[in-house]
Amino acid sequence: MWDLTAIVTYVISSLIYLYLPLIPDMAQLAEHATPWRRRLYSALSLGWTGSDREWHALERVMKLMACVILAVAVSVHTVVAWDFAMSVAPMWHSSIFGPYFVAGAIFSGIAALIVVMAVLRRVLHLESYLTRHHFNNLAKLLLLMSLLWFYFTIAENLTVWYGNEPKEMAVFGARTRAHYAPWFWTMVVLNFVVPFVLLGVRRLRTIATSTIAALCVVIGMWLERFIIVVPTLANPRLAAVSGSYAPTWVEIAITAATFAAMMMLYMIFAKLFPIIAVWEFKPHPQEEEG
Amino acid sequence: MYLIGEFRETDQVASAIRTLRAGGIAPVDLDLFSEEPVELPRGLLDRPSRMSLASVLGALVVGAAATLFVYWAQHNYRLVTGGMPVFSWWATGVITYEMTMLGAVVTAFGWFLWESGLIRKGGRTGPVPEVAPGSICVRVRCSVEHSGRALEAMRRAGAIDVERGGDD
Repeated sequence: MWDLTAIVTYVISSLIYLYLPLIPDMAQLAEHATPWRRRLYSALSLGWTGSDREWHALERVMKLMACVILAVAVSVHTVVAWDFAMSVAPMWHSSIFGPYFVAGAIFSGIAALIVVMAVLRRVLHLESYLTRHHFNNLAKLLLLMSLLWFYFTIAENLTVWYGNEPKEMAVFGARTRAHYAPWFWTMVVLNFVVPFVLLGVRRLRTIATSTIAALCVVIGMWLERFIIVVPTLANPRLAAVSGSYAPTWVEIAITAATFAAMMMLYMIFAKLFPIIAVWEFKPHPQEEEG
Repeated sequence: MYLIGEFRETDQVASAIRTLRAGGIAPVDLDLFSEEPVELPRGLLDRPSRMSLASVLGALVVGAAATLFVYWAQHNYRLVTGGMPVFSWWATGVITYEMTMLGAVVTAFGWFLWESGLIRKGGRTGPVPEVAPGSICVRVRCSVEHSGRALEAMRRAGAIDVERGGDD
């Protein structure tokens, strides 16, 4: 029930928050599009006229939603973390799992945003809208989250190592020294070392390096999920059910299909709707001149 | 009747609204139309809203309803809990919180649709001007005897065009 209510709330809130700023743009698009698109945009714009009552209400609801959705985002990622933490499994039963997951979600979210922005900028020629200032500021935020993620990772692993509890040490050993060590250390390099070097040194921080660092973080954060789930399930408290894990082709296919489906949905969305809110953005004058 | 004045600058719009209001036109009879939000000085054409209050009330109602539903479901179909309470505030707290937030979001969205007039098509009267890019249109509802003064006020404020927009 926790996950059901949390995810339903998150999905509905996110969809509404995505839909709201699109309403004025869809009203404009309805005047220019092909017939079937015109019908779609007209229906979705709900008869928007651009009156000050509509603008006032839109700005008010977006401010309100921005506050609420932040609280929902924190709670959703915390609830997922609590699902793990309350199972009393080795290296899951941790009180910092909630904030660790929230920080991880923000971290990977910023990274995914940078990657998507870089792709859209190149493919749709949005250089005047998605400028180096946006990338620079997001890169700084990514660097901050990388440091925070590293702090949480140290805190999580140091306490387990110092506590020296046998069942937890079995998972810790599997992660850092044995079967899963290559994945663990790759994760640390991708999530911390690469962003720290590429984004921490000012001269190296360009759009290209920010995108490379962000791509590393996306891969690294996927590895983090793998490292959290698999070593613990392979070394449970009941030694009789312990073992090692390698994905089957079915699991690999499902994972690949999930990524493909997500990309397809995003591409359909980008094809149908303005990817940048037209009424909110004006091209950056300096970039236009350049 | 309606008058529609077209302006280029926000200052001109503010000046027109100030004069129109001084001439006895109520805020409810004034509407602006633009392609992007217009920032006017505070107090000039405020649109009071109860969205925050409605959102809080919606949150409380949905949160309370969800909690009661969980309480009812737990007691209606009792699980074997090994001596632990059938209904626990600790375990229900997450559900209460999430549904409270959902209540706030859905109520805010519904209130937005209502307050903006987007779902009250019947309540919409008057002509809607076609706004050129960069323009701001001011629509005034006034009686025939007030129309001359309103027209003059908009012209003096800098309207590039003022036209009659149809009868009420």
